[in-house]
Amino acid sequence: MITLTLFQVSTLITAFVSLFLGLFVYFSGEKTKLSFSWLLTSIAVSVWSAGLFGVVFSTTEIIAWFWQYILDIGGICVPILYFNFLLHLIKKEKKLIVLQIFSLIAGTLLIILNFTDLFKTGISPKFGINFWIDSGKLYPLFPLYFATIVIISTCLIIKEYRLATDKDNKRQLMYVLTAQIFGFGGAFTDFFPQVFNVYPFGNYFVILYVIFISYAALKHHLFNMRVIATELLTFSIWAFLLVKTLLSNTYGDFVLNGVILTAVVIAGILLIRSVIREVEQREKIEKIEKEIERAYEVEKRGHELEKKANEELKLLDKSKNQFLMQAQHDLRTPLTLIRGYCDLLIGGTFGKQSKETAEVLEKIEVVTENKIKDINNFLDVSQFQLGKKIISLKPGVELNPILQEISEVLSSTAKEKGIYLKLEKPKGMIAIEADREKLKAAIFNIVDNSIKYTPKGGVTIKTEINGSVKISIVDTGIGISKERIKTLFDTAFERGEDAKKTFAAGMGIGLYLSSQIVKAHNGKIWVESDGKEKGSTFFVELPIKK
Amino acid sequence: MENKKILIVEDDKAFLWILRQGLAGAGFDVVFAQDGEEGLKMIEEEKPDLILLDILLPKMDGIAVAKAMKEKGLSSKIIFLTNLKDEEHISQAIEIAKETEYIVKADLHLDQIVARVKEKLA
Repeated sequence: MITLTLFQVSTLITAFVSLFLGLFVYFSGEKTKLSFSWLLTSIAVSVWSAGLFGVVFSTTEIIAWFWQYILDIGGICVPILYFNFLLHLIKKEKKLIVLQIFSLIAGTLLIILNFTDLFKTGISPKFGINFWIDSGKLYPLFPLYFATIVIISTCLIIKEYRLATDKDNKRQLMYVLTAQIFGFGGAFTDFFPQVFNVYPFGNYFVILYVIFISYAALKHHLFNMRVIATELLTFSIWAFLLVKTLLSNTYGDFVLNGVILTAVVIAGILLIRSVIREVEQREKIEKIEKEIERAYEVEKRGHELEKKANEELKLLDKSKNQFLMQAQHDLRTPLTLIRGYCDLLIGGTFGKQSKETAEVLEKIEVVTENKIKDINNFLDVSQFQLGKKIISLKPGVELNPILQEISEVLSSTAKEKGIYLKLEKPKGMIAIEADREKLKAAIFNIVDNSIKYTPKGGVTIKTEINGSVKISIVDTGIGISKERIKTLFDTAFERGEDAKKTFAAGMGIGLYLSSQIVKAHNGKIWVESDGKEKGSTFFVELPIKK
Repeated sequence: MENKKILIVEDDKAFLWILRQGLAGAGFDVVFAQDGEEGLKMIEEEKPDLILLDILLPKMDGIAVAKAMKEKGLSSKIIFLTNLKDEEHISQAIEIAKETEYIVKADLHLDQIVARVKEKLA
């Protein structure tokens, strides 16, 4: 019966596990350049470790010498392939291709050197191990080459770790670094017997390197690690039992070991399958949890956005109000003052004025009055356009007095122009739901507008009742072109081309404001004209609430 | 209208002067304040029959002055005299006291304002 030493077992396990994990990572995941580079590295580690097993297990020098070549070639290849893998991992395989070529050249030279006695002179037992290399003069180049690549790799990983912002990425790099420390640190102690005459204690750790990187290379979740661990353990037992069976001393032992191996293989498969199933279920649950979390995040974000939008709207509304307040104050105040001073002078507070002065003062008053009217219109339009509600409807508003007041105020204006203003009073009382002041302003604007654009003849206000109230303002003025009719009430701050020629005063927003007010009364406003110089008729139709 | 005391709370010095001329000319005893706080203090001290109260005032606006008056139980009559003509301010002012009058400066001549004051005190 051959018994295996712990050292031998560790090399054997490393060889098997490395090969298995390399293949597993490559065939279970995506077949990328990265996973392929890891497969190559794993194969090299496996070859190296198998070689080491061969050397330390052999009983004759000639067989051990053969395995030593495998060990050395495998060992020289590991750093090159690992470095290639690392560059793929940090996505610098193209940028740092020069370093890669250097490692390849150095490795090739070492392999050539490996066949000379400058590299190894022979093998002999050391530290109770069957055989171990006797190094040649240039052998130290190998540990030097090995250490150089490991140091460069470490620097690259640390640099990448600092630059990485992604949590997963950082964790992955951390795994690779840990793996390097265990793997290469452990393997480096294999140089100790021949270089420092120290036992190669670190070799036991090499296996950890393979496990760590395989884990990190595919960004396996923690649960998948359980599958890998289970598989690893199972395969190790299988490997151990297989070796034990093959090395059986007697036929009886062989059969017994064979039966145990078969039983363990079956049990192992069942174990692995159950673990995989459990892991899959947990992953499903995890996925659902993540989805729920994501949905919650989305909802939360939506709420935040809504809140922010609301706040912005409030702020906008506040600044709108501020603007309107400021505009009202600043536009009205100077006119109020001018009129106030005139009122004092005309009223005789400071003595009686001469006839000429009194006339001028009255002219100032008229101009100021007109400006105040324009500004009132302007402010009302601004409020409409900024979305402010300026109409509050009240029932039982009588129409006749409104028309009467308008007619009284504007008849003097018409008189001055030498035209007439007629009010054909409707029969009976008409009460509607309205905002008295605003409705008055709306009709006032229309009549005022008609007077402005009527050089001769005059303006007539009529009222008809037919389910609703229809007020018509008929003039004999300049008329309106067909094109202009379409857009007459549309925009504020715009006057018809022909209207400009008459030099009539006004800011051109009166009609727009009238239309807005009428619409706010659920009414209709329109204009009819037979064309230029043929007069116009404005209509305002308001509903009567029963 | 003799002996009736009117308090004008108005920060615009020019308009304040015009009002003082107009009201004094009509025979009222006129006192005045140029900000809300001063106005409130004078309402307590002078106990005017009527207050012509502006809305946009330094330190304390006219609406706040009227509210404070109500809390303190000061019963002088109020006419808001302002150049703000929006629903928001009008409804706020009316809410404080139903008998409150709201006049837009730009809408009335000086003699019309004086007439309103007389009406209110009648």
